[in-house]
Order: sequence, then C-alpha cells, then structure tokens
Amino acid sequence: MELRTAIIGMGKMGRIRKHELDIHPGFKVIGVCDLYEDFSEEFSDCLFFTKWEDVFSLNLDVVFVCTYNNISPDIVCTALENNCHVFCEKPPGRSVSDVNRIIQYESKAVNKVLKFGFNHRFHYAIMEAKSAIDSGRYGKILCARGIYGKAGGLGFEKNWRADKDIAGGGILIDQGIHMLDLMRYLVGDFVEVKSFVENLYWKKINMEDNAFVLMKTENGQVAMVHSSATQWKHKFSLDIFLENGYICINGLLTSTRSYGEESITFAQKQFEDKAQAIGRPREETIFFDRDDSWRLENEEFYACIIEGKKIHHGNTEDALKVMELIEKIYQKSGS
Amino acid sequence: MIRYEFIDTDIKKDDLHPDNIYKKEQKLAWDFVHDLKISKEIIPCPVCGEARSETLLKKWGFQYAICPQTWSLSLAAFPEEDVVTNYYYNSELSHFRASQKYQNLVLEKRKDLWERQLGWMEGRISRYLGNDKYKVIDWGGKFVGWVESLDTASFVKRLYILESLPPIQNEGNFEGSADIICLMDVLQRELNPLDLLKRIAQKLNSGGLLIASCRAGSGFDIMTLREKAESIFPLDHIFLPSPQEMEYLLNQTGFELLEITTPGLMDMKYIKNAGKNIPEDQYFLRYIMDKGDDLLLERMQGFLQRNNLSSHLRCVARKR
Ligand SMILES: NC(=O)c1ccc[n+]([C@@H]2O[C@H](COP(=O)([O-])OP(=O)(O)OC[C@H]3O[C@@H](n4cnc5c(N)ncnc54)[C@H](O)[C@@H]3O)[C@@H](O)[C@H]2O)c1
Repeated sequence: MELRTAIIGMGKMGRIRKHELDIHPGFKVIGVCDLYEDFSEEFSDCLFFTKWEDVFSLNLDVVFVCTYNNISPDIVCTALENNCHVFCEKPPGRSVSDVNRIIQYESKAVNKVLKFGFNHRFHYAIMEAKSAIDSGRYGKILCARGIYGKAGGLGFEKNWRADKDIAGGGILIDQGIHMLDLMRYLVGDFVEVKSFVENLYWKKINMEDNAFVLMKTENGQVAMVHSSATQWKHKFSLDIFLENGYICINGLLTSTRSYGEESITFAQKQFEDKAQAIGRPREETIFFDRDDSWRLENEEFYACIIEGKKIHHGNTEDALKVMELIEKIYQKSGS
Repeated sequence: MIRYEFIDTDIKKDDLHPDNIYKKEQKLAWDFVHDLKISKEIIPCPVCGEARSETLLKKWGFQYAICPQTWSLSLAAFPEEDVVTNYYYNSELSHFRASQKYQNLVLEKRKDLWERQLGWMEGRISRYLGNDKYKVIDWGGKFVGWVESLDTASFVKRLYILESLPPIQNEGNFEGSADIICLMDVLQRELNPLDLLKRIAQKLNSGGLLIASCRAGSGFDIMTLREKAESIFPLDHIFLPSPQEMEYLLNQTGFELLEITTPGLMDMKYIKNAGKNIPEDQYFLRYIMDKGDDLLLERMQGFLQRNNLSSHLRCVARKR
C-alpha cells in the first residue's frame, strides 16, 4: 500500500527523510513545505508549499514534521486533527506541556500512528547493546556513563538552535536528548536527578552549551550524562557496567564520520584468576560500517501503520518521559 | 557489514594444535596422501566456476589454486570422493582422531575456547532470533567435547547431529527442520560446498540461522607462509574460501548473509612459530619478526581481524 505523504520543513532532516521515503516502496511523497520558496526548485517531483497549513489540502495519509521545535507541536496536532499518521523529529516540542497537548490530540485521533524520531535506537551498536542487556548474559545493570558532544561551529550562535524561544533549550534538548532517551531505553526510568547546566563558552546564546547530569532509577542504578557543545572533537560514547561484565559503545556512524567509527565492545568481568592481568579482560569488539537508522525507523513507522501495531520506539510515552527528564535537569541545575 | 576485533592474549598455538598429537596427525595424513595419483590439470573454482591458472602453494604433491574472482583457495585438482571418505572415516588418521586419548586431549586444550565460542553464539542468536530455546543441528562435528558443550548451551532446546565424523554418532533419521545449524570448521574439508549448503538449507526453517566457521584461504598467514603454512595440508584442507567466496556461496544457496568476520587469533602466532621457515623473499615479515615485539604482533592481528584479513572466518546467515 502506498501512503500519500508530505514533509514539512525541508532543511537537513527534511531532505534526509525525503531521500529515505523516496526509496521506500510504501510511501509516496506528494508534497513538501518550507518557509524558503527557493527550495522549491530542488523538489520538482512533488508539490511545494510555503505555508504548512496548505499541505492538508492534499488528502494525506502521512505527515513528516521536520521543522523548528517551536512550531512542530502545532503541526503535529493539526496533522492528527486532519486524520494523518505523523512522524515528528525530536525534540517533541520545547516542553512537557507541548507533549501533553500532543497527547490530547493523539487520544482523539482514531487509529493514527504517531512516532518521534529517536533514530539513535536504530543504530546497530545500540541494537547490539539492547540485545546483550536483554539476554541477561551480563547480569543486571549497575551504572552507565554517556558522553555526546559536538563542536558548535562557525554559525552556532546565529542558528535557530541558539534562540531559546525557537529551540526551547540548548545542547541538552537538541543533542543530549538522544543520550537521555538511550539511557531510559537501556537502563530504565530515572526518579532522581542532579545536574549542572552551564554556559561555559558560547556566551552569545543565553542557554546551556554543557550539561552534566547524574540520574538514579528506583532500583538504585546510576547514570551519568555529559552533553556538550564544546566537544571540539566530536564524541559519542556510552559505557554500561553490569554485574558480570560491561558494554562500551564508541563512535556513531554519521554522514561526515565526525563521531568516528561506530563500535561496541563486550566483555565478561575477569579477575586475576582468569585474566592475565586484572583490569584487562578478554574483549570482543564489533565495528559497524553502515548506518541504516533512518531506514529502520521508517520501517517501524510503516509497519505500525499497515499492521495497526503500537509504536515501540519513540512513542508519546517516550516523548513525555524524556521531556520530563529534561525539565527536571533544567530545574535542578546547581541544587 | 560488521567487523570484529578480539583482545585475547591467552590463546596459544598449543591450545589449537598440541604439538604431541599434531605431529602425529600430520604424519598419518602424509602417509595417506603422499602417493595418491592426482591429476595435473587445474579444475575451475568449485563454487563460482571461474577458470583458475595460478597456484599459491604445493603441499605433499597437491597444488592449491587461487580463484581469480574471489581469491578463495582450494585444491587445484580434487581427489575422488571415496578417497576423501576413506581419509575421514577409515584411515589410520581417522581412527587416531576418534580415539579417546585424542578426544580427551582436545577437550582439555579447547574447553575454554569452546566456552567462548558458545558465548559468542549465544550473543548472535539472541540478537537475531531472540532469547529462547531452539532446535539446533550440529553439522559435521568431529569433537565429542564440542558436541557435549553445545548440548548444554542456554539456547539449545534439542540438539541433533548430522554428517558427523567418528567417533560422534549421527542422529538416526532426522525428519523436519531446525531453527539453527552450526557448521564449525567443516567447509574446509568439502569437495562440493554448493551441494553441502543446499542440503543444509533444506534442513533449516525459513528465517533460521546458519552459524559457520572455517579456515579462510585469503588469510594472512596462508598467503604469506604458503608451503610453509604448517596448519594447511591435504586432505584436511580441500576448500578454503575467502570472505567474498563465502558470501557468494551463501547467496547461491538461499541464505541472506547477516555478518561475516575473520576473528582469527593465530595468523601472527603461526608466522612467529614458522621462525626460520618464513619464506626468504618475505622480507617485511622477516623484518618485523626480527625487530618487532609481541605488542606489535598483537596490533597486527587486531588489524587483520578488523579488516577481514585473518585466516579463520565465521559467519551468520539467515535462511531466506
Ligand atoms: N534525529 C536526529 O538525529 C536529528 C538530527 C538533526 C535534526 N533533528 C531535528 O529535526 C528538526 C529539523 O532540524 P534540521 O537540522 O533539519 O534544521 P534545519 O534548519 O536544517 O531545517 C529546518 C527547516 O524547517 C523549515 N521551517 C521552519 N519553520 C517552518 C514552518 N513554520 N513552515 C515550514 N518550514 C519551516 C526551515 O525553513 C528549515 O528549512 C529539528 O527538530 C531537529 O531537532 C533531528
């Protein structure tokens, strides 16, 4: 079945989505929308709109929302009202109240699928980690440590991401949200939060460029997250320590490869009786040469629409929980 | 595709091929093959059918030829099927390998290795099929210790044995199909790998997993040591695919390759052990063996593993 689809917001993400949708046999992109009319020449294979409200004249099945954070909740709610399945990029708006509004519209939309783009869950290293944790081979999780950082860059302070009214927050809500979502996904829900949310370098933005977070689950598992826009060499790392071993993810495959090769290392804990030297256990590392996360995300979305199933990755509960966590991190900073 | 690297400093050549029995195995193998009449003609690649003209090495009167398409290595001319059957089932070598003394020694040496292998399999099975218990076939097994360890693995609901070598008994009449088939170090002794994989595909449920390992002819120690590669000899080694040949073979026989890696740990150790036997014209190898230290060899082994260049490969494939 071919779903009549429109994409709103044709910047970096809108283009990635368009490419992926064009190669998926189940979607037919019939319209795209962006504030910049100049973009229309690049999308001559479908209709172009500059006002997002106008795309709903197309009798759509599906809408992809790839705009700025301030407007995405309005578009999601309108799309649901117009009986569309909706895919919305992270973050799901700028606040918990944005997500709650979306949830209200979702509850009124009958049999409509709503998914948020937490694509990191579909990176192969993360899929391996999830499978290893769920297998129970390494026992229960004790603690986890995640670092996700980028360098900002020349236009960083002028970008829409540097405007609090549009973005809702700094690096934490923009990039750190992925790491927080992964921590929830792999470790569990956190009930206690401590944090420092700081502006250390990019003084023209009146938001954080670094967030240091400590979180604890009800079972006493502790996770530490550092989200940074002063990571001059891009970095993604996620270490998980379990009762009987550890899992370390290093690097993340992206189009520029700036986060390095994506790899996952597993090891059973070994003390002096088994290892040649304490602290140097036998390790096994897998490297991944491909990032299929966008495609796999689309496949889950499509399968849920066609088979009437519930979204497992990036549903409204995930969206709400991660936004609640972010609000707590902002509120608790320094206390 | 994915690539592997292991850090494992424990493994020694003696764990895989304990000197005291390996010398005897080689002597018995030589006794069996050295005066066999073998055609001088070079047959095409047994998998892709490509004509071959280049030979990489000659061992005990047998030439090994390279497939120009995939760089896999196999005997230039194949012996008759009944000769191979005799070698594996009725020869003095086969009796020696079936003996309790031999099997016990292998168990003692390889116990830890097998445990790790099972750990790896458990990981791959839970990744691709989920955490559950499955109907498993061990195909072509030759070590009692391996089959017994596999039988106790967490993912095994019921283990069946097919096409095993002595002293392992086959499962009488196995009807139906399994969820997982293990084919550990079997392909290398095959005259007709295509046929073997087709038979295997018939015994596997669709969506089921084939987990295979075998020596890779494109691996570093074999390509560089050539004749002096002690671990390669007829008729233990008939067909030594490269990762590319393995992929082709699986594609041709109804499998979707999920991953292929060369996690071999031994290339650099085999070369080090070759010592004065490193071919004279391998200056680079002679240089690093003379001036390099164990850490250098470990880093090189890591590089070989990571880039699918080691001489032991393993793969996981799903039946379409
Ligand atoms: N999953 C991921 O890894 C990932 C990566 C990058 C961005 N994102 C998310 O995707 C969204 C877009 O980010 P981006 O990097 O593509 O930004 P971008 O600036 O490249 O693109 C956003 C586009 O939306 C358009 N737009 C804004 N408001 C609009 C409106 N009212 N009507 C029509 N078009 C409008 C802009 O003109 C712009 O072209 C953000 O929410 C961001 O957080 C997700």
